Amino acid sequence: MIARVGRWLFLGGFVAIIAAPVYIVIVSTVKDNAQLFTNPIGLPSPIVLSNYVRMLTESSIDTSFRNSVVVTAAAVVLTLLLASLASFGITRLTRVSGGLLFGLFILGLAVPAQVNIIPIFLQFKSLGLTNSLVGLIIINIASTLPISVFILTTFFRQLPPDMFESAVLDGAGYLRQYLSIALPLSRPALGATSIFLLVIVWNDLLYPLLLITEQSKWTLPRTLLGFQGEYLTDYTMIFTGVIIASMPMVIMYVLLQRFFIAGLTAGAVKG
Amino acid sequence: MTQPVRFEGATLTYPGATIPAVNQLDLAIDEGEFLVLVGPSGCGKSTCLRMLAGLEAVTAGSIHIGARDVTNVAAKDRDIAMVFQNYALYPHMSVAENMSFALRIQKAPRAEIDRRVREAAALLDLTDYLDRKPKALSGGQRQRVAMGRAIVREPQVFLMDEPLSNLDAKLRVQTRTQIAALQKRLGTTTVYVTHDQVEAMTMGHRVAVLKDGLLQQVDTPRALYDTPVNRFVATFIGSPAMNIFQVPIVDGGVDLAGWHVPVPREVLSRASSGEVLLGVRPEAMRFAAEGAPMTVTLVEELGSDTYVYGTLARSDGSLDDVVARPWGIASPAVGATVHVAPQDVYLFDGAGAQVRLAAGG
Repeated sequence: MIARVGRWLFLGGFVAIIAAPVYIVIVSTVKDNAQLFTNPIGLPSPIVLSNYVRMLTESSIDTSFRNSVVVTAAAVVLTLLLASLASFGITRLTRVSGGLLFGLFILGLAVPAQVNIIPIFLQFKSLGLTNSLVGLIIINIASTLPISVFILTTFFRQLPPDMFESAVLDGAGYLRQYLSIALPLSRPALGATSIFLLVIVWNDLLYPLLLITEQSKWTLPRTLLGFQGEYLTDYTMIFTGVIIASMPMVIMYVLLQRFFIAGLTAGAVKG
Repeated sequence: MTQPVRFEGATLTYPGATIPAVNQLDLAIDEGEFLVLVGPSGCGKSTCLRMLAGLEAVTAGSIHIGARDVTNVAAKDRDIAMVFQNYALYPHMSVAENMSFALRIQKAPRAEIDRRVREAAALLDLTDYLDRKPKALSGGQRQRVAMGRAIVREPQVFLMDEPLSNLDAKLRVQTRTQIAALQKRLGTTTVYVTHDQVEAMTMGHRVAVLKDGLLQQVDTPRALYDTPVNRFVATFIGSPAMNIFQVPIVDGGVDLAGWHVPVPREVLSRASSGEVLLGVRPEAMRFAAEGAPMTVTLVEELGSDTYVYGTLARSDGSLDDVVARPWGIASPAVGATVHVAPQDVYLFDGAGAQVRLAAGG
């Protein structure tokens, strides 16, 4: 009995730690600044929608939203394409050469992104890719390729090699094996990987800070940062922006949840 | 008669290995023949098949299919179809899509694809399952889909790598006959790999026995049984296995637990030492009023057959295991002593050469 109560208390506390900030953020979006500072935890009274109106009319969040969608969609799709091709190649090569190539990709995981910011900035500047969404897409692909190759290679290695040998005897070349067999079978893994990538790219602040100075090219996280001044921070606007920015992620999670669970448990049992 | 498949000195040594997985294989397979490669695990039989399929590169020698030397031809261009041990079906494709995959790659006309798939499905009793995915099929049906996938290709050669090993015992026997009948009907040259000597003997027109990458003997099932070339083939083919006893040569024959087994002198003269290996098939171990005394340790009644297991005492007191299949007599009791007189014997050189000295007797 005591153990049970203890467990409920522990789990309840855990839920509170997670839920409290979310609650504060959500209710704060329908408060004005005065309410926020005098009563940060309580329910709003009256409910004000002016933050949303201001956010949608006065700020450049629509442009940022569009930029974020473009960068995220392009980066995720291209990363999945390149990573699945690379992973398929790695699993079809011999153990040694495939392993070496895999190791090379995995090295990318070992290097923190922050270490590379100066070389990246200099290189992108010389290539004329600063202040450009294309540049942002390229750097996001480069930075998320290692983790994607890692996840997909692990998945491809679980596919029975006999199936590919059978395809070879059926007359399938590598491209056909990739398109007709590897890709359709890796949908759960691609789904799970795409969720990781969506979260990483959508929330990325480092690269927009590094490469983008023009406000018209800002992505959402960079725009939200704009509400935080040196002397004054507009908390209600930040919170409203956070809610708007996280909406697509929440929707994606709901839509792709099936794949996410499948991806987590893929290969757990021999089937 | 043309020989659509020929191995000429085909050798495969895996990188890093010192002993070849397949060593100097010379084997020619006739048009329309059902050839079975049989041997214990690790003997190189599957490797032979994979070499023929083009899935393993040959390190020496050559492989020919029809008039072509295919040693360096890519697997997809060899015009062969293979049935894998675990079937290797494409799980995301329906039965019809699995069967038509190769034809679609060849860009065969749609009507032609449909016709061939329907014909193969009818042949294999799969017509009702064409729209199903492999996971919705039983083991036997999956096995038939794998066969169907090979059949629609209408290849020059079928390769089958232990296709029955994932089926239960009853279904295996049933499918065994179906495959043999199907092969006869289609008349396609077939190379079949199995570790099961019963499968080999019942299905193959000829059986090739391999051990440690070396071809031991290739012959018809009957000939393999009756005239094995060495001790390995003699004991591998036949169930229960042939009894082998190390026996001393005595005047005019050999001595089996005090019982004189006559052997022609010219045969004995070929032995390299004073001892030879005497081989006796269980059914040739006749129970008689006089013979070597055998102590019965176990009796297996299978209904159609009875196997009597026991021991023979050598002159030095050590015991040799022996199995007999008595005909038309009441089974002896466990612990009883019966007398056995070998009827047909095989002699193998005991000096390790494992060369058959003679058969019959």
